Amino acid sequence: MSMDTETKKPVLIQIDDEVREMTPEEVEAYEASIANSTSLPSPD
Amino acid sequence: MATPPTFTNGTPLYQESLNSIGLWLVKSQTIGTGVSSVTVTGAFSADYDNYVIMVSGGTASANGSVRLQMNTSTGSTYLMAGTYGNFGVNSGLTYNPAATTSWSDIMLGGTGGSSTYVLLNGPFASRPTYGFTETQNNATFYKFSLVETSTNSNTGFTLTPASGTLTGGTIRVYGYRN
Repeated sequence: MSMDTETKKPVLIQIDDEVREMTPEEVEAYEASIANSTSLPSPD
Repeated sequence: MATPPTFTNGTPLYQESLNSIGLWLVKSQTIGTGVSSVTVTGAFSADYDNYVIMVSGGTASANGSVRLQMNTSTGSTYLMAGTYGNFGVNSGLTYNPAATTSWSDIMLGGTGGSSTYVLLNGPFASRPTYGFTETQNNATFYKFSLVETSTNSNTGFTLTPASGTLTGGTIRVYGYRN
């Protein structure tokens, strides 16, 4: 049996001692920031 | 009296001694499990001009850079430049990217752990922030000078891995007595 939908792992955000799942808006902003960021590539 | 490096029961808390202590712990934040970003609030204030941020004891889901953005300075005002290398392979490789919206490589995450030491001068003051970072995992090291050119006053910051998540360890923020 194949799965029609992909189950996405929740993205966790921590603010001080509170850890929770990101809201859809936060996930969108987070993914945009990751896509737009440039950093040194992992060397290994 | 001289400022003792250690105190014992019954040691009088002389004003002179207490006012000579140079480094004060402002904030200690334990990092959760599998988090994609960690925000630390209430780190910077008018109490101190200069700060050290130390991150140690945790792991990352992948080796690689972690960026830092302060809470008020969100424009393309972050500059960093310096050297990096791989232990036992090379050193002194230079890095001097254009300004971005965070210090994109202020910290290294590591699957086998990592250590980060960041000095910041004036993150709360309404003037540019200066500093440096020295960070390493078991494969790589970064040594970068930092400047954030805006005049924004910041009270906290967020660490975000370029990919993957962080687990465990502690972020400690210390303020240098003015």
